[in-house]
Amino acid sequence: MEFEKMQKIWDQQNERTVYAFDEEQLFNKVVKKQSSISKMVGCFEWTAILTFIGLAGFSFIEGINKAEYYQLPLSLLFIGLAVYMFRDRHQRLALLNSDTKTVKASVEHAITTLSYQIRRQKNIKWWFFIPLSLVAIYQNYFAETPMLWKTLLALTLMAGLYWLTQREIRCKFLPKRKELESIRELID
Amino acid sequence: MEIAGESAIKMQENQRRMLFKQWLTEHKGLLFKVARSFSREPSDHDDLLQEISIQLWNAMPGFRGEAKVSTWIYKVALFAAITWSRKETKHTSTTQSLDDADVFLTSSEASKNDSLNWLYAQIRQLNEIDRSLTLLMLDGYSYEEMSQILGISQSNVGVKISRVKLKLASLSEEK
Repeated sequence: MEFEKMQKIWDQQNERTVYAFDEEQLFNKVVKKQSSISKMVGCFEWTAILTFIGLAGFSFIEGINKAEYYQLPLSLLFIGLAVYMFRDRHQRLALLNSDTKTVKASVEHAITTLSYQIRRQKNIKWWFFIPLSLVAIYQNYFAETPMLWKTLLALTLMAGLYWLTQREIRCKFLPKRKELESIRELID
Repeated sequence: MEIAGESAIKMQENQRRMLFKQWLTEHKGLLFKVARSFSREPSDHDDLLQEISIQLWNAMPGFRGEAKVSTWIYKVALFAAITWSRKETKHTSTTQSLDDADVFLTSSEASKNDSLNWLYAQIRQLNEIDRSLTLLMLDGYSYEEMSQILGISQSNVGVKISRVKLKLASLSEEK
């Protein structure tokens, strides 16, 4: 069939309504879902930031008042985590407000974002789990009544969480990035 | 009616909702065509339509008004459809009850048009980029506009379009 005939078939869609969809229902569903997700994410971020700041303050005051100076590095760690979360939120919002002009740019942007996420999660042991584990061991060492089981429980939980984050990279992020890269090859 | 130059930066929530609703209404033809071209089953059309709408909603704050609204929406819709189609094999839509699914498509007239159904079936046999080019070509976009939407050079668009036309012609001969 010649292309011109295909064009005529295609143009039938413009002459009369051969489709219809309930845009009201679609609108309600999308807006409701996305607004609630957005609020939830924002709420989680601010809760985490304020919690870390609170914990930092608490550790600092406790450390000074009770002369438990081992609490002070913990306080610094919590401040660091609060700053990191705040920066992360700022980057997420910047990403939301960025515009990629073409499909190819959108694919590149998605690959870059995913690569950043993969790198961050691969390094999570350095900036999160190991510091927290050291703090847990450090606190137990200096505590008046050391409770080894609590420390071991905390370490086991962190090891489990670390395994889950690495699994997410293997099962979700890496295949997704591979898909996007194959799309990019198709475009080029 | 196009709202050229409307910038969505720092828009209020209500404004964003109004604009989104307006765009869904004004450009539903475009969204429908993309959804039909990148998915097979009617329930997949709904799924993809929803995915495109979500991407559109999320992308709105970044819209700078530098391009025409329809061009920008096409870009978002094609990107959403291309990435969605890669996951299409994971969808088991045929086993899902219609009572449970969100059904946005309300008209069945599309399914009665055999020649249109046939054309969509041919388009779906192309790879994602060729499919995108076919849609843009059939909707009357120039090579320059296609180049701007997809992010490939105009000469590359020309080469791909020639191949697509040959491919479509050979598919129709097989039929």
